[in-house]
This record gives sequence, structure tokens and C-alpha cells, in this order.
Amino acid sequence: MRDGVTLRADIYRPKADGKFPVLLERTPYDKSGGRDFGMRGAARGYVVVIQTPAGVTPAKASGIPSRTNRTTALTPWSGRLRFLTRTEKWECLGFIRRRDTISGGDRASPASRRDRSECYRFQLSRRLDVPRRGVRAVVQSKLGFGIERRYFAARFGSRHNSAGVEEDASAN
Amino acid sequence: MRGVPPAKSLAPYYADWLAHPNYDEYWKALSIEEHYSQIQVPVFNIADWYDIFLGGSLRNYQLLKTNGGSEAARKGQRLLIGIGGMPEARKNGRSATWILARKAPFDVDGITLDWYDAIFKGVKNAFAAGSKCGFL
Repeated sequence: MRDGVTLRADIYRPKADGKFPVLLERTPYDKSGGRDFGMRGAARGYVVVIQTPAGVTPAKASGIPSRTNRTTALTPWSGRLRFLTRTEKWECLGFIRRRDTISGGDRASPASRRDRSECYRFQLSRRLDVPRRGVRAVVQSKLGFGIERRYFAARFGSRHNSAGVEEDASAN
Repeated sequence: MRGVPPAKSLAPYYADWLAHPNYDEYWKALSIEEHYSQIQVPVFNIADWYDIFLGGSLRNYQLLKTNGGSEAARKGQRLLIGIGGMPEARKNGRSATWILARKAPFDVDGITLDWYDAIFKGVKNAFAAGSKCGFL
């Protein structure tokens, strides 16, 4: 991102040349949990990007900046202050990762909205060679209280059928 | 709590929450209900009957239908309510929703891809011909 923060993603794409519709998922959970969807999506002719918003994955020891890299947090469900296990921390950071975020409101955080916008404009359009033609559809799951369990936005490339599936973990 | 840093240094946003006990501009800026008019694209809402967020999903569907920012957003959205939900307090290691979900598998990934097939590829599946609300 422009502010130097690294956002990590897994990319699944059809094993074929050409441009494909891109489905971008931003999840507050472990991005590897989207593997099944990524593989199935690629088999149907989509490029699927499973991305963790800033703060979900702890920064590397090399010092890659992350917006949130805490080892402790206030558990939002109980309000009690205590040290968290590693798994709990990741889970928790999906909910309360930034000062200006309340409850996992990925779309509600100005920083996250900026990240998402940059992903559309730069990552997708340049690295995946997808034309900038605007978001066409959104899937929201369990949107009710601001917790964004799954967010998809899609851009439209040219239409091709897939000849297979390619899994690309090179994007971290 | 000895040895634990003060809450303000760990979670400064928590102090912000406490500073805004009422529904003021701070919360309005974060609430989707204040921003339906900015949604311009069709939305596929997925909820669960026994999920604590069901009420919010239904409300989003209803309000987006009237307040969406475009014709596509107002008329193109779909709502699917599946069985199951967020795990609640468990007894004997299993929750009621877990048992229900096991008895009625819900292929949310496949249904989601069907939605995209209908939108992007013009596939004549259940989304193209079906009703706007679905229940499993």
C-alpha cells in the first residue's frame, strides 16, 4: 500500500491464458480458510484473491510494517483485559485492529477502505491485468452487526472458460 | 491484572467507545445504515436462521431495497437464509446449530459462485430465474 503496509493474499487462478473475472475476498480470519472457495472459483473460470486486511497477520520479524501488531488486546466479547493466545489474537485483531475501527468493520475503517480501494486500482489492475471497469457485485455474509465475515467484490475481465486451476501463493 | 499495561495503551479505541455512549456522529460514520445510498451494485445477503446477526441481515435487505444507491442495488439484490448460525453456548461439546447444520449441509461456496455465474456470465441458474429470497 502507499503507506508501506504489506497486505497478504492467496491467489487462485485458472490454468489458462487470458483475462478472467476477479473475485476479491477480504477476510478478518485466516486467509488459508478460503482455499476451497479459491480452488472451486478458479475451476469455474475466476481469479480468486483471498486477502487479509491490515493487522490480521502479524508483521514479520523483518520489520514489515503492520497497522496492528499487538500481543495483547481487550477481548471485545467479554470486555476483560487479558493476554491472548496466538490464535485468539488473530481472531481478535479481526475485530478490533485499529483505533478507528469498532467491530470488524472492515468497510467502516477509513484505512481499510483506502486499502481496499488501492487493491482495486493497483494490485488487481496491474498485477492481474484486469481492466478498471468497476465493481459489479458484492456478497455480504452476516453483515448485521458490522462483522464482515466475507466480503467479495468482483471486477470483470474478458470471458474465458478455465482449463484447470492454478494456485499461486507467491503473493504471500 | 498486575503487570498488564493500562487499557488505554492496549486498546485506545475502547476509550473512544466509552466517550460516545450515544448514537452520535462517531457511530453514524461507521454504520452501514447511514450509507445505503452509496451502495450501487447488487448485493447477495447470506444469513442463517440461528445466527445472532439474522436481524441485521434482514434489515439490510429491507432497507437496501428502498434506499439503495441505484436501480441495480435496489432490485438486483438477493437474500438467502440458511440453517445453522454462529456457535453459541454448547452442552456436551455440541450446539443445536451444529447438529442442524450437519443434517442440512449448506454449500455456501457453491451458491456464491452460482451468484457470480449469473451476474458475470449470464448463466441461467436459480439466481436468474428464482425469487429474490431463498430459505434452506
